[in-house]
Amino acid sequence: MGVGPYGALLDAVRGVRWPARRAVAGGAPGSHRARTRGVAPEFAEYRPYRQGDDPRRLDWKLLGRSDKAFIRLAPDHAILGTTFIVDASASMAYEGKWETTKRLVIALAAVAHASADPVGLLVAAAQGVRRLAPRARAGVVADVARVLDEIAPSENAPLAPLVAQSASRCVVLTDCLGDADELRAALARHWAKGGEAHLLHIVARRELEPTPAAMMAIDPEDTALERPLVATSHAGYVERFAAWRAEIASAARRAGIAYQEIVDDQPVEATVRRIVAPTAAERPR
Amino acid sequence: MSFLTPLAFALGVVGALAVVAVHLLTTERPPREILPTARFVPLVEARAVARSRRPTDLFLLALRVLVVLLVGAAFARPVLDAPGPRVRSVVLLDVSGAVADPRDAASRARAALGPGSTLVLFDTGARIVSSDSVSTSTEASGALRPARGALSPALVAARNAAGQVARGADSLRLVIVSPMSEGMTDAATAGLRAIWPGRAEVVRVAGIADTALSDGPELVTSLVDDPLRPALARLPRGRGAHRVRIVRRVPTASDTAWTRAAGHLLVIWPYSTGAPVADAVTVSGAGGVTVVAPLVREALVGGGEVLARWRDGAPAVLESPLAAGCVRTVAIGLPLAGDLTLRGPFNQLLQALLVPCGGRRGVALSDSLVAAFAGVGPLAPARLLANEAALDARLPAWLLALALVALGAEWLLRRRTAR
Repeated sequence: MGVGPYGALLDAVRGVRWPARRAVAGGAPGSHRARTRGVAPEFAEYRPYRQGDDPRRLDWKLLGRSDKAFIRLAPDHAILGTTFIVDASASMAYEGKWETTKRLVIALAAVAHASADPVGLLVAAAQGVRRLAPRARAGVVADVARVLDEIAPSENAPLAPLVAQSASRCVVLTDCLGDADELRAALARHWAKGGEAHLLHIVARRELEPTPAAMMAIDPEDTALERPLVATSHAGYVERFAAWRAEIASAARRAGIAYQEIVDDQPVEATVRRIVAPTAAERPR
Repeated sequence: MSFLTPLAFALGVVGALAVVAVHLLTTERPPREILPTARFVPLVEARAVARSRRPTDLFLLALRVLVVLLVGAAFARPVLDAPGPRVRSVVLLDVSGAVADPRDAASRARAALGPGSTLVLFDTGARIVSSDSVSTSTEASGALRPARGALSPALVAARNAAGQVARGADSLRLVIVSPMSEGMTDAATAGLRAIWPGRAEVVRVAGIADTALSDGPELVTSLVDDPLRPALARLPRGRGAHRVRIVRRVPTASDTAWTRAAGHLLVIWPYSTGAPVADAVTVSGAGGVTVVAPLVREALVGGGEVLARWRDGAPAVLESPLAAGCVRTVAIGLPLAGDLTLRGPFNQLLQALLVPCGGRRGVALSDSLVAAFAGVGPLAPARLLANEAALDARLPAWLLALALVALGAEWLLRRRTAR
């Protein structure tokens, strides 16, 4: 299955750009501002000529006026590899979480690919890790869609070890009900190493607002865990779940991770725009 | 089928309703549903009360209700109704000498009798006879009738007779055919009457006015001017059936033979042997006639019922039965001189001493006393008077066995459903 079912979604996010949250390391030319300086027409600064520099980069006019050899430097742009780490544990099959996750990954992959960024995929599934190495070629979005459509969430698999295999931009889509603490630590390390870390917390509406009817709630990843969700425990559940989400968000943001809580009934197109929008600190002044 | 203890069956019905209510209001675990965030649900009681809108397991419910009803019915002491009227009578017929017209009393008793009823004849004792032999029974007893009837043994016999006829009846009617004269009650009568749990119907028949003698008392004396003679001449005469012989000597064999007849009273009243002293003698019982005069205390030999006492409590007059009659021994010595025997108090004393055997049987109880004795309210419930031995003990056992079978079926069905 290709991107056919997602055509409308891809049309909706066409033209959306996903700039890097900070200067990327130098590399192949791309659309993201790099930490290196290049020879683009856009002037940035002068640097004294050193042996080995390309003489064509000398500012001849300045040399003629001042008899000093300087080289014109311009800001460099590079690509930013993006890896989506997707949680395919059993809890992600609840309500619309998996469908939302798939559509979100495909939409973001299309946005990244539109900037010529290589896009890769790591899916932590019960059968093992499904991988798509970061590539910028045409059809990578279709590959991502095909891999995701083949997977049915089940059981539980850790996500934190996959962060080390990620490209510079690491986007994790999970409900944080697995190895949330280890994952947050791994993303923090990734951020400290200069990478870009995104944590997209997928939540189902029925998890936020369970039906008032009494039920015996069962954890799909640990069927031994049964809790009665009745009138007397309803408010307590909502309160504890909200406190836990707030703690996750707070800890992630403190670690430099771009955290977003995504509810499964929200339109994916709007969610994509919210994710790629730079924060106030990142906006150019 | 009826129940002697309907309260137990009512409790069974209440229990059955409770079973139905519990069946509808079941405490059950809520349905199991997947919720990935179940770990955030606080730990509370895992059961919730839910009301079933549509009852399930109706056969199981029916078996449970059946078990409860059968147990309730078994403990309610069920009896199979015998054919017959719902109201039956226990008729107490007074056949003592106090009844003036036994035939009239028998006809009234016959009128009170109905199908399934029973008849109790009583005088000083009581016996249960078949209702169709009322005439022969009364006529046979009439040959030698005691002077008075006693209600206490009659009530005891009525209670026993009720146990035999109560089965299959709703209520029992107690009918007493009697003149209801004084002396019929004793200390136990009120308590025995209270045992009968319903009102009684008293059919009063004519009693013998025995305080008025049929003829003048026969005085056997050797004294020409016996002081008793003028006193006896002043006594009233009437239609009474009892006869009195007063002997002023030791009674002979002929006196004893005469006394054995019904309604005969032999009064042994010896002459005075000592000097009179001021003293007082009082007749026991209603009336309480007291004579204060110079009198002589004579020696009393033998026992019997005390009819009169001296002022210090010593017996002055004793009565002892003798076949259908009785003998009265008087230890009151009369002075030969003086007008004591002509005075009013002595006349009253003499009348009290010459009443028929067993007391003043001719004096009817007042209507208020009879009404109080009869009581008011409903008839006696038959279930309270049913004879325990007359019950069929096998019926509760069968019901309990049936309940056990139903319980076993319920267990099997529940086990099958659980699978």
